[in-house]
Amino acid sequence: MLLKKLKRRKEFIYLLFILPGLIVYFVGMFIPILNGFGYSLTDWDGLSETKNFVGLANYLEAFKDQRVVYSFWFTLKFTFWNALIQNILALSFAIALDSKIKGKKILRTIIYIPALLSPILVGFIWNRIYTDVLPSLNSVMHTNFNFSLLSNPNTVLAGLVVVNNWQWIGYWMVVYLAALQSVPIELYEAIEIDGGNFWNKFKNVTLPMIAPAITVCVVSISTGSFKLFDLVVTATKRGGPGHASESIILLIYNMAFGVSRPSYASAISIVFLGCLMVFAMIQLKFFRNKEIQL
Amino acid sequence: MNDKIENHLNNDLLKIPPKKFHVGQFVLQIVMIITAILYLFPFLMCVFYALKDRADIFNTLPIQPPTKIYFENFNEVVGKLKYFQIMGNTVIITAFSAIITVLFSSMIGYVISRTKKMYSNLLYYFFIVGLLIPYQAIFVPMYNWGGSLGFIDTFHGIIFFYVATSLPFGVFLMSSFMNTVPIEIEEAALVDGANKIKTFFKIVVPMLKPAIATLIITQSFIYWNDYLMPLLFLQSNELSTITIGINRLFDQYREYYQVAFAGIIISSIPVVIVCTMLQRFFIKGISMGAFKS
Repeated sequence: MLLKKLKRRKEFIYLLFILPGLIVYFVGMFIPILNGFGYSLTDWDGLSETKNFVGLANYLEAFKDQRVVYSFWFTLKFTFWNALIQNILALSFAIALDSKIKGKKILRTIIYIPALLSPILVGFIWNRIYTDVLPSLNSVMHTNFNFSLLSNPNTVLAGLVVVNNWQWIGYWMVVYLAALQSVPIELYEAIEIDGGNFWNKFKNVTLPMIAPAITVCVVSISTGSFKLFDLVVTATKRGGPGHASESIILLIYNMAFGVSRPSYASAISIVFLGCLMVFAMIQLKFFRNKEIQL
Repeated sequence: MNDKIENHLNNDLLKIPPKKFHVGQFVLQIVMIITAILYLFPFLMCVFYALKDRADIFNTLPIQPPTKIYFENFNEVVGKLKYFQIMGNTVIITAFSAIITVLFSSMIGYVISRTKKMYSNLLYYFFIVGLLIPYQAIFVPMYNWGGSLGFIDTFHGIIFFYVATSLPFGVFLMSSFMNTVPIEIEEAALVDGANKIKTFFKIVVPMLKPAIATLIITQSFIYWNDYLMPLLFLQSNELSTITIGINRLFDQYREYYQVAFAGIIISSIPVVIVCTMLQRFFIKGISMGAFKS
């Protein structure tokens, strides 16, 4: 009797522990997801009382809409270049700072600081750098480089990739540094005794030992880059020139609040969500296999 | 004979190679110094801009230092930005969101880790699914739903959604960390007559410190620099956060960059100082957070 009462009391306390978080999560995340799916099947304009069911019309329109297709393609390219460059440079810097060079602490801090700033600020700073500062270098050096990458639809992607890398390399460098420092030094010594050089050490010890970190970084950088929004708000003045740097999130924002079509924006959101899920699964599967091979 | 030995010894001693000059290391050092200079270049430009007066802005090139140091931009921007107000707003939102996230996710993580039942597994996966869903992918329905809940232009509204979107990571982190904490200590406390709630706050929470630090650091970072959520939910000027206030400043001062740059400097210096001071914990937090996910 007493035991049963105690047990019930225990279960009750557990329920008490779960409920607040569960309610917040359910109300704050799950209902919006369901609502979003609901909106995407209607023609709601965000204000009026009436919502007409239109089936998959929004989705069909999205797949044919050049602006939507361009935005997805642009964001995908942005993500690809970030994942590639950021990983290579972050790992290179981490290896450099794991060696015997001087002033490692100050170098690490300097490279890491941009990651502390809000992308809103970073975008504004680099907007000025591309439009004023770098062109003024031309007049000093008497050269004629075209530095205004952000004002040309063909180079805006490259310009943004540079900015985003400047900001985030330090962050991932820190992650790689932690991984490198956890590699047992004996493994390197063993290769040294065998007469191996730097490349042997890198290929046979470093790479396999930090494979989990590489997975984490590639996946996190990609998912982070997919969410590109703040940076293009200030760096390219909301996706300019024209719609040339309109990322997916910015597109959704513009569709929902610029042209008052939250239903269409929701459909794009759902497609985006689907892409994210597929992408996450492919990446995890790919890298898990690779890790086992290594 | 003796001579020979001496000679031999001398030769051997001489054969000890002089400290080798590492060319590779030297090159690496130079490369890293150049990298650091390139990294600092944008910051230097911010300082140059912020310390110039209007005449200087027009008369000097952006890469030239100011001809005289001019601090008035900072005075101007503190008022224009309502600096202390937006700082305060951001601190309130960040602190409350982080603390509530920690509280809720450690409670749920505790239950998931300590009960090996069907429902705790189910609960776990229910939260883990959320890891794949960034709020940026559902912000349109979130905004409309928040509107019907009366959450627009309130701090509790934005805190509510921050907590909701942080819980998947929080629950994941806490339950996996809790699995590494031995259960015996709690059981001893329970035997001694402490009740469950007391045990949780007095015994379990202190043991979770590393995970709590990680969660606070990673999430505060996200809240502090976030732009989209306050853009949606905090529309009136008095409730602006730093990112919103600064971006409004950029729009107002299209022609007077020096003021905007002063704003950039005063709004990021506190963060940079705090983070550099806490660097040790920060780095631990980042790498722990990254590896757990």
